[in-house]
Amino acid sequence: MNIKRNMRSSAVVLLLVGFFGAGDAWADKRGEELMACVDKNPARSKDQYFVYDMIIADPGQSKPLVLGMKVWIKDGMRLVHFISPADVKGMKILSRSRAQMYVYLKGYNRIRRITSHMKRQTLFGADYNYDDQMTLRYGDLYLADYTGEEGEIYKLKMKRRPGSDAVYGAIEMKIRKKDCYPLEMRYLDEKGRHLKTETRSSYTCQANNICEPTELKMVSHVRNNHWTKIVRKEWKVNSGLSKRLFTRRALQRN
Amino acid sequence: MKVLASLLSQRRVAWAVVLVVLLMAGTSTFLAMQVTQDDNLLAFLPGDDPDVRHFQKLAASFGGLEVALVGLDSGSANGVFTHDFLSRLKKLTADLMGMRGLDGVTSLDNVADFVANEEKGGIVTGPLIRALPRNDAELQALRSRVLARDHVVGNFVSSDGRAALIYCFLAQGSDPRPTASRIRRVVEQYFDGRVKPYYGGGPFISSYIFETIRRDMRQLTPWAVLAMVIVMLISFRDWVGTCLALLSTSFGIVFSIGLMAAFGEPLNLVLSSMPVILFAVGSAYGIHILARYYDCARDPVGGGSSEERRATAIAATLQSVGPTVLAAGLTTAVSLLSFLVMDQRPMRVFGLFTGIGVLMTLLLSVTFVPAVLRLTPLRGKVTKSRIADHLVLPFVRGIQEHRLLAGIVLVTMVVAAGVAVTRVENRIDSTNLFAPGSAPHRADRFLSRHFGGSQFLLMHFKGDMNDPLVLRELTSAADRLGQLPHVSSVMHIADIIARANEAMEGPRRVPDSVAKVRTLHAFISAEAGVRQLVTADREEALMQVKLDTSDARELERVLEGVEGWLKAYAGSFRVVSAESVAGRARLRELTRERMLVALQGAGVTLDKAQTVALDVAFAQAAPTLDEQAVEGRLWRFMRTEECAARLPPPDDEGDPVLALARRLVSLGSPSEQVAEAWQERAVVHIAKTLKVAPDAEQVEDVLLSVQAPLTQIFADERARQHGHAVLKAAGVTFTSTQKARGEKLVAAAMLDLTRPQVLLQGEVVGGVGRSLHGRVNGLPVLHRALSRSALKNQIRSLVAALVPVILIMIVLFRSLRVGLIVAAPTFVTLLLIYGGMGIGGVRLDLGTAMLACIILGAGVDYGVHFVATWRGEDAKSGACAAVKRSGGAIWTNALTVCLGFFVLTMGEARPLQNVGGLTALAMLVAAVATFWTVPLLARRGSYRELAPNEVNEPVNELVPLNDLVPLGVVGEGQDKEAVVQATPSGGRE
Repeated sequence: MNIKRNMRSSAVVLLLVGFFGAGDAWADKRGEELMACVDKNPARSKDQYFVYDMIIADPGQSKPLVLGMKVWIKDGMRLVHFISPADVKGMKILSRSRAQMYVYLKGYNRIRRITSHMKRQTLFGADYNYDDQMTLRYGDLYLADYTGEEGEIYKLKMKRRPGSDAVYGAIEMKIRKKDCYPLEMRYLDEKGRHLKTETRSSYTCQANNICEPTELKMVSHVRNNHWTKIVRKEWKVNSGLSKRLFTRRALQRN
Repeated sequence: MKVLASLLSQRRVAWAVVLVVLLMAGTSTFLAMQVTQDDNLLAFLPGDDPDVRHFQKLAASFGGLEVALVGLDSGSANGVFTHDFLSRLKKLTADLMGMRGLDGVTSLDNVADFVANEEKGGIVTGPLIRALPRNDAELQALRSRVLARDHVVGNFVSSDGRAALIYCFLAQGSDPRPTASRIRRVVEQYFDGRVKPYYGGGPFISSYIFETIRRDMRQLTPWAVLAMVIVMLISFRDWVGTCLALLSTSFGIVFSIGLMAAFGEPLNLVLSSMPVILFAVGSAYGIHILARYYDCARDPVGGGSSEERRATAIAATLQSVGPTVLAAGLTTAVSLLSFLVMDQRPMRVFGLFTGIGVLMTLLLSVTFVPAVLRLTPLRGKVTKSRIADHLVLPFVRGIQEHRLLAGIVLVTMVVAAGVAVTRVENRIDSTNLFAPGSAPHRADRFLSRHFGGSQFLLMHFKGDMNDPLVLRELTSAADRLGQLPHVSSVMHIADIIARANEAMEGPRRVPDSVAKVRTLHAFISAEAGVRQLVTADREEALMQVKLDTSDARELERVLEGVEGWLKAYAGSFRVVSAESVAGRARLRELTRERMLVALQGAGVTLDKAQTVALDVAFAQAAPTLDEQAVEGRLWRFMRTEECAARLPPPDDEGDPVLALARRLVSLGSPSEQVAEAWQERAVVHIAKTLKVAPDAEQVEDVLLSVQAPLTQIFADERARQHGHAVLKAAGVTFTSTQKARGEKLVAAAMLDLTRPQVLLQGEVVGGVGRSLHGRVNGLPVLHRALSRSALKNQIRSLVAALVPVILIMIVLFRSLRVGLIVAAPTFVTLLLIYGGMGIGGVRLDLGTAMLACIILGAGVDYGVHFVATWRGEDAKSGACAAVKRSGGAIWTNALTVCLGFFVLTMGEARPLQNVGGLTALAMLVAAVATFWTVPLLARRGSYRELAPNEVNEPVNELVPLNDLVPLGVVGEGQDKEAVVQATPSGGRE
C-alpha cells in the first residue's frame, strides 16, 4: 500500500517537475552564461549617439527608401530624430520602454503618447519591427542553449521564455568568442520556420571594448527576401548625454 | 513525292530514317522533360489593348494587386464570437504571418485598433482582439466592441457575426499558385468540419482555373486517347498498324514539346490540350498511309521477292495517297498557324507549336511510317465498311436525287444559322471560367452575401496625393461613386489618411495641411494594403470600388455608370478661396455630401422632408460656441502625459489647471488671431495662474504644449455643435449604439466648412490649379477587353486560315471552283456551329474563339478526301466511288475526333467543356455537311487528275474502299461487283 502511495507521489512529483521545469530544462548553463555576456554589452557605455541611414529596399521598387536618423541612447531609453526625407524630417520618437513611446509630429506640432501592443509593427515598411529595435536584453525574454562553436564564434539557440511576450519563437545567434557581440541572428517562429536573418558586420570599437557594427542588415524571408539595411555614419560614446534629453519637454521643444 | 517514294523504297534509307527519327525522339523526350509550366493567366490578356496595358501598369505600380481572401463561415449568427472560433483564428493568423510569400496578413484577430487613453492621453494601439475572451460577458463585450468599428464590419467580420474574412497580401514576386495552395493547406489545419472555408481573390481563382484545367487534361487525356484508339482498332483491326500510327503522332507531340523546351518556351494552359488535338487530327495521316499500303501490298503490281513487293507498294502508296494526305495535313497546320495573328501570346504559342506538331506528324506519316513498313512485313486485316454502304451511300444518293429539296433545306439552315450567328454574344465574364457550384463560384456568393461582394472596379487617379485639396476631391469622387447602384463600398487612400488623422488628431478627415498629410503617409506606408492604394511617389492612387454583383450584365451597367460619371468629370480644378461665393457654395456641397455619407455609415437614411430641413439648416449660420465644452477638453488634455509642462495638482482653492483652461479659452482660438498677440496674452494668463514669472520655463512649456491642441479643440467643438444643430433641425436621431460614432463622423464632416480653400472643377486660366485625372479599370474592364479581343481574334484568325486553306485546295485540285466545293462543307459547318451557339446562348470566349480554326483545320480534310476520291464517269458514279473509298473513313474519323473531344466535357474546367463539346459536335456536323454539300455542288465525274501509278492500278485496287482509312478497307472479292457497276468504265477513271 505504502509502496503504491509512494509510487503515486513520485509520479506526481515527476509530473510537476516536468511541467514547471520544462522551460528551464531546455536551457543549459553555458548557453545562459553566453547570453548574459551578450546582454552585458549594451551596458558597457553610459550613453551613445549615432547617425544612421536606414535603407529599405522593396524588390518591386527600383529606388529604395533611405531614411536619415539621429539616435540617442541612455539607460534603456532611446530618442530617434528623423532628418530625411522631407516627409519625416523633424519627426521624433522617444521610447521609454518596449511598449510606450512618445511621438512628436512636426506637421501637427504636438506630442502623441502611443502605447503600442503591436510589437510586430514596422515603421515605413522596414524589416525591423519595434521589438527588434527595442530589445536590448535577451535574457528577460529567452532561454539560451549553447549549440556549438565554429572558429571564432559561439552558436546559441534561444527559445522564448515561458510567459514572456517575445515576438519570436526562437533566435539562433552567432556571437564573437572574444566579446559576445552578435554577428548573425536567425529569427524563427513557434513552428521553427525561418522568418528573418539579421547580420551585423564591420564592428568598430572604442574604449572599454564598446563595439558597434557599421552595418546591420535584416532580410525578411517571409517577404521574399525584402531587406532593410542600417548603415552607421557617425558614432559617439559616453558624451555625457543628459537625461533631460529623454523627456517629453525636450521632445516638444525641438 | 516520287523522289521520296523512290528513296524510301531503299532499305538503307529506310533504316536511316527510322534511326534518325528514334534519335530525334530520344533527344526531344529528354528536352520535353525540361519544359517548364507557365501558369500566368494574365498572359492571356491581349497585350495591345489599351485597357489591358493600363491594367498591367497598375499591377506594376500598385504591387501586383494580389490579395488572397479566406472566408470562414461559422454556420450561425455570432458564431465568430465564440472562444473556439477566435482561438483557431488567432492560431491561423499567426501561422499565416510566418508563411513565405506573404507580405502581410490581416484578420479580425490582428487588425490594428486604436483607442484614446482618457486618463493619460494619447492613443493605445494594438490588435483588435488583444486577449481571447474567457467568459460569456467578455465575449459579449468583444462583440460589441468589434461591431462598433465600421471599418471592421463588412470587411473582417459580417454584420451578423457569422462569417470572418482574412486578407493575405502576396509579397512582390510571389508565385500566386503555390502560395494559394499553401494558404489553403494551413487554413484546413485549423478549420475543418463545422466551419466552412471559402477561397476568393485573384490567387485562388487563377489557381482554380489552372488546376482544374491541368487536372482535367491529366485525367481526361488518357481516356480521350483511349477512346480514339478503340475506335481506330475497331475500324482498323490491326494492333501493330494502329500503334505505328499512334507512335508517329506521339513522336510529333514529343518533337513539338522538345522544340518548345529548346527555345525556352514554357507550356501554357492552352498548350495542355495539344496532345488531344494532335492525336485527334494527326493520327489520321499515318493511318491513311497504312491503309493504302496494306491495299497495295496485298495486291502488288508485278512480282518479285517480298522485299521488292514491299518497296513497290510503298512507292505506289506515297504517289497515290501522299499528295492528299499532305494537302489535308497542310490545311490543318495552316489553320493552327493562323493563331499567330491573335493578340494573346499564349494563343500564338499554342498555334505555333501545335501547328509545328501537325507538320511533324505529317512529315513522319510520309517518312517514318513508310520506312517502318519497308523494314517490317506488316499486312493489315481488311474489313468492310458497313457505315459507308448502309448509311452514307443512301444519304448521298438521296441528296443527288432530290437536289432541289436538299438545296433548299441546306440554304434554309444556312440562312437561319447566319441569322443566329449575329446573336452570338462575345461577352466574357467569370462564368466563362468556372461553372455554377464550383469553388470560386461558391466563394463569390459567400463574399457577396457576407462582405458586400467580391468584384472590384479600380479607379486610377493621377494627382498629388500629398495635397489635402486633391485628397478632398478624391473623397468627394468616392462619395459620389458610393451612391451608384451595386457599389457596396469604396476604399481609397484619402480614407486611410482620414483614419490615421483620427488617431493623431481626433476627427476622421483629411487634414488641412500638406505637412500633416505627408506625416500620415509616412506612418501608414508600412500598412499591408496601403501600397495597393497609392504609389511610393504619391502621384497616383487607386480607388477600389467593391460591387455587390457578379452578373455580367449588371457589371456592364455599373461600368457604364462609372464611365458616364468619368466623362462628366473633367479632372482639372481651380483653387479658389472658401471666402468666395463659388468657393463657399462648393464647400457646402462637399460638406453636405460628406455628412450624408456619415449618416449612411451610421445607418441613418433621410426622408425627403428631413433632407429639405437639413439643407435649410445647413445654410444657416453656425450656433454660438459653448465655450464650456472647449474648456473641459483643454483641461483634460493638460492633465494628460501628452502635455509636456509640469502642472500643479488641485489644491484647496480648486484645480489651477481648470482655471488656466478657462483663461486660455477666453482668449479664443490661437489660429484665429495673430500668433504673437495670442501668445503674449497667453503668457500673462499662464504666469498669473501658475504664479510664476512670465519668463519661467514652465510658462513656455505650457505655451508650446497647448497651442496646437487648443486650436484643434476649438475647431472640433464648433463643428460638433454646428453638426448637432443641423441634425436637430433635420430631426435626425441615432440609435443608442450608433450615437457616439454617428455624431463624431458628422462633426468630422462639418469641419470641412472651415477649409480655407477648395477646388472647383474646370480649366485653370491664370490662377492656381490642381489636377486629378481618373480612369476606370478592373475585372469588368478586362472582361470587356477580352471580349473585344475574342471577337477580333476570331475574325483575324479565320481570315488568316481561310485564305491559305482555299489556296491549297486550288493548287491541289487546280481549280478555284473545286477548291470552293472542297471548302464549302467547312463553311456550312462553321455557320451551323456558330448559329447553334447563338441559339443555345453559348458565348464567344477564349476557348470558343479557337473553335473556328480547329473546325476549319480538321473539317476541311473531309472535303479533301471526299473530293479526291470522287472518280466516276458522272456525278453519280463519282459520288458512289467517293463514298466507297472515303465515306466510312470520314465517319470513323469524325467519330474518333468527336469521342476524343467529348471526353473533355466530362471534366470540371468550363473552358474545356465548351471547346470539347462544341468541337465534338462540329466534327459530326462537318462529316454530314461533307456528304450533303459536295454531292449537291459536284456535277462532274472526277475532280482530280490521277497519279501515274493510279492509272495503272488494277480495277480491284481502285474500286474497293480501302484507299483512305481504316474502315474503308473491304475484303478481297467483296463488293467488287457493286463497285464495278458503279464505275462503268470498268473501274478505271
